Order: sequence, then C-alpha cells, then structure tokens
Amino acid sequence: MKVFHQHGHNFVWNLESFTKDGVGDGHILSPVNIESDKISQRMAKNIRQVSFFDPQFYLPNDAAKKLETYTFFPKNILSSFSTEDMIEQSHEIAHKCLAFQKDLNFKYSVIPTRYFSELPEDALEQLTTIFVEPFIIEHSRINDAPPLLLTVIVKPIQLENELLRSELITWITNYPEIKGVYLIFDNDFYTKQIKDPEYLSNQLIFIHYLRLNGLEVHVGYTNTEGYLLSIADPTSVTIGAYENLRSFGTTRLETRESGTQQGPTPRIYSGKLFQWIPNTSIPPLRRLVPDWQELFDDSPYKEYLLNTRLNFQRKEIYKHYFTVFTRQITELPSDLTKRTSFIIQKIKNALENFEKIKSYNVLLDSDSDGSHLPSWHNAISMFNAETSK
Amino acid sequence: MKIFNDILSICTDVRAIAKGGQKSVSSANHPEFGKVVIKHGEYRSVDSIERIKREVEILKEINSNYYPKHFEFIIDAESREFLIIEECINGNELSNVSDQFKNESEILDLIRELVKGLYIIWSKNVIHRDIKPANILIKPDGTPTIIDLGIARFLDKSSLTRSIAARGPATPIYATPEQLLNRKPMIGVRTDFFLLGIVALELHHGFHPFDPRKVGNHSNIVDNILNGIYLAPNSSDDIFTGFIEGVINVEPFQRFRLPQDLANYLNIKL
Repeated sequence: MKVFHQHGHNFVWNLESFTKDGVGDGHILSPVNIESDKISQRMAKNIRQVSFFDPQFYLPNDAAKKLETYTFFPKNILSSFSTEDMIEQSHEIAHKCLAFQKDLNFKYSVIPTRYFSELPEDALEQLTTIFVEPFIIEHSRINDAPPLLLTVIVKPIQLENELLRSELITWITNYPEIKGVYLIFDNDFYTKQIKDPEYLSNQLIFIHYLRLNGLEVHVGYTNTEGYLLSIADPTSVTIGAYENLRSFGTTRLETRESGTQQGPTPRIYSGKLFQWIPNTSIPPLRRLVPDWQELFDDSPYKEYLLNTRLNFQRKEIYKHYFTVFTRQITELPSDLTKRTSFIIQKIKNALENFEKIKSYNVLLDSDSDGSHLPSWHNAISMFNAETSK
Repeated sequence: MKIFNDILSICTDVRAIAKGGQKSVSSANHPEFGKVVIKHGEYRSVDSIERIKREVEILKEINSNYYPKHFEFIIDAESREFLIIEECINGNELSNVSDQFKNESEILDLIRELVKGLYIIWSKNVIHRDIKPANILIKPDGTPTIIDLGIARFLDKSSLTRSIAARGPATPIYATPEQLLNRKPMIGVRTDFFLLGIVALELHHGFHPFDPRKVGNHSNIVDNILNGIYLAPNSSDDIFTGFIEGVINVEPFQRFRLPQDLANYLNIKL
C-alpha cells in the first residue's frame, strides 16, 4: 500500500518530506495552489512520474486562485454553466486536460468530477455525460496517454443508503477503460476524528468491492483513519498538512474575500495514540506522566516539537506526521488477515496508552482523546461480518 | 396499412406469426431477400420510433450468424407506421428445444455461444436487456441466433426510459434487479450476464429458478429476483455452479465485471 502527499497550501513541505526525508510514494497535485507553468519548475520529472494531478473541477464555475492559469478549467472555457454548454465543450475540456497531464509525464490521467452540495437524482448521468464519456473518448485519441483514474466523491448518503451505494459502485465498475479510482469521501462530521462506526465500516465495504472488481483505489483526503482503511486494501491513502487536506471540503477551492483567520491550535501526531495531541496538553503530560515522550514516535522533528512553544504554521509539525504515519503504513503486514489482527492489536495498545494518560490525572478533550478508537474497532467487526457473508 | 400492403403485394406465402399491441409479425417469401420476417406496426411517440430506429441501426451494422440480417426499414410519418424486413431464421425457440441442453456441459456450450454473440453488441456499447428463451432461436445445427433488440440499451446514446418510471424496460420475470428498480446507471453488460444466468439455470432445473413454488416461499418471481432468492444448481460441475454464482447476484458489482472476465472463466476467446 502506498502513501501519497496530498498537496495544498505550503505543499513545499510535502516536497521536502519526499525528497529530503524519503517519505511517501508520490504526490497528488493541487492546481488551486500552483500556477500551471510552475509545475515543471517545482517538481522534477522523476517526481511527476510517480504522482498525479487532480484537475479540481469540483466547483467548475469558480476558477479560484491559481486555477485561472489552467486553460482547460471549465470557468476559463465556458461562457455559461448550463448543462448544454458543459456538454458542448466537454470534449475540448477533456482533450486539453488529458494532454496537459500527459505532457507533464504524470503517472495517471485523472478524470475530474464536480461537487454536488445536494445530490441530484441524475448525478451519475450528468457526470457520465460531462466528464466520464468525453474523457474516455479523448483519452483513446491521445497516443500513450497514462492510464485513467476516475475521480469519485462519495456523499454520506451514498454510503448509508444501500441502493445508492450499490448504484455508485456499479457505475464506477462499469467502465473497462479506467484503471482505478481517485476516491474522496465527503463527510459532514463536526469532530476532528470520525467516530461513526457505521460510516467507517461502509467506507471499508466501498473500497473492498472496488478492489474486488480489480480497480486501483487511491483514497484522497485521509486523516488517521487512512490507517484503518488499509484493512480494505486500498492502493494508496494520503498524508496532508492542514486539516483541510485531511478531510475533503470545497472551502479552499472557493474565491473568497481575504480576511483574518484565526489559526488552529497546533497539534502533534502520535502514532501510538492514532491521535493529534494539542500543544497545550504537552505541559501536563510532561509534568504528570512518566516516560511521556514515549507516547510520541521518533522522527527527526520529535525533539523540537516536544520542547518548543509551537504555532500551527511550523512545518515540523507536519513533517513529523508525514514521517510517522508513513512508517506506520509501511509496517503493516501485507497479508490482509494478519494486517487486520495487527491493526486491532495497535488499537488496543492505543486505548491502553490513553488509559495510562488518564491514570495520571491528565484529561484530553474529545478532539484529542481515544474516543474514536472503539468506533474503529467496531467498524472492523462490522466490515468482517459483512464480507464473510 | 399502405406500406404493409405494398410489401405484401410483392411477397408470397405470407403467414402471421404473432400479433399484439401495436405490432404484428409475419413470415413471407420476398422476391429479393428470400424467406423473411416482416414486422409492421404503428408508433405512438418519438421515443418509440427512436427505439425501433436504434434496433434497426445495430442490426444493419452487424453481419453475424448470431443475429438475423436486416434488409429494409420503412417509416411512413403520415400514417405513423413502420415496417421492418429481416432474415427469417430457420430455428426453434429455446424453450421448445430445451431437451437439447440437459446437462451442464451442453448448457455451458450454449452459454459460450451466446456470450460470443452478445459480445458483438457489447463491444458496440449495446446491452440486450431482454435475453430470455423466447428471444433465443436454436438452429438445426444447434447454434443460437439472438433476436429482438427492441429494448436494447445503447450506452452511448441518451436513455429513452423515463427516470421516474417505476420499472425499466424488461420482461419482468426475465429481468435483473436493476431493471426492475429502473436504476439506469446500473445497466451494463452485467445486466445481460444475470439474464444469461436465468436462462442457464432454467435449462438446468427445467423450471424458472426464481419460481416461488420451487424455492419454497409465498412471494412471486419478481420479488424473488429483487431479493436474490433462487434455487441454486444441483450440480457437481464446479464450472457451472461458479458461472451461476458469478452472474446471478443482486449486486451487479458482485458479478463478473467485464465480458473478458466472463470469457476467461468460460475459457472462450472473444
């Protein structure tokens, strides 16, 4: 299983982590954060060859930030966004977008998608007409174009509702031309960790059936649950710096008035807890818990992080996470049965670590404690029950 | 009736085969084409004539012994009539010659032939959607001809089925769950795979595999199809049982994925 860097603001940290620390297997580029003519300057060919480009057509009528430098972005081609207009121009958009990806030597040709805030009844038909079919046809017209990845955003209702889920998996697997899926789970949780076991088990089931159909599955915008998702054997999960790269949302793709924004509390990733621990919890841990530093995995950044007053813009926070999380993925057994047992044991170990912290009278808030881990455990049980039917 | 009468006037040995709804089917000897089938009827909507046009177009494109040859298509817009002339196949409906396909090996050989035939339309992004014994004619040499592309789904063309329709085009007792629920994005080659499974299992059992009297419930065939309740094969032939398990599944994504996957399983070249 691979780990891709999910690019966004300050993607240079991902590039440094990849080139200097040897972390990750490739990158998922974010055009909203880089001008089209800067890609080849910032990323060498050998890096592009193991990476792919997300065209980010999620909001096709908003060429926010640097998206306006991409000639194939819908806003830059279309005069209106009526379905008819989109259909009429779909082949031109597809051809330019695919040629761009090929010319830059990316590993895959990514078919984009659009974001629906409310899922229309004919969503799949719209996506078929505007994106899938034109891209498949234009792909066949480009010599030696890299293999196709279909971007799919899965709405919560498409996980919950069995008929919609079945419809979406069937639709995805209907196309023999695509090699895999760039899968994005949209969710509306307000917590930093996903604590709904049914949602998590449905994610596992979704990935499992795509894999059974022989597709590569690259799960984008994953947080720590990327570790749990490895049970369903996706081809890759992602590591992203800021929270908006570890949970999908369209806010960062929207044109907005600039204004002051309060930075989030800096948090340090602990692989032994599968959790991000706020900087403010470090002093009580230091003072009250013996061997507290053992709760944090080693990395070239650990010492600095545990002994410095941080702000969330410190790159060490994220490079530590990239290093530790990727190592955790690398250590997973390749055999899926053994992998499941291994992960269950790691969850139990993490829960014991949280108990230990509590036993020394250190309390963590609900965004920092282990309250997501029982859901992980139960999601595994539900997934196993479903797939052993 | 003018276009119909014009054709009849030049044909001999005209015999009515079937009549129902807005369409009649006759056999005849045509001076140019020989033994033919003449389909004549009225169309009531733009969609219905579009469906007929698509069937004609695909048959015109195909030159294969697995399908009847198409000879002529006439539309009279004034009287809203259409007329199709096709090759008359010298064959029997599968249900009338089912005793030729008793054991699993014979059934699988028939399925292999049908897969080869269907691949011709699948490769043109066309799904038959109405595979059933009445639409499979067995010729004297035992090979099948597939007929009636009247409700075929052309994946490259816009759907002619209304999304709000409760049920998609199908023969209900020879339909897949996705057809019965009118889930259009789920229609694909795997729809035809499922239907081949019903045909194979009906030959194997000698009755419809979703028949409530045989599966032991008080439901009906359509509900049993929707719920995936059928009588599994009573067979020690692993290839046959594996084929059934790989095609008869409520979820299309749990069937064989691609024609090539099915062909590989059945050990045939497409």
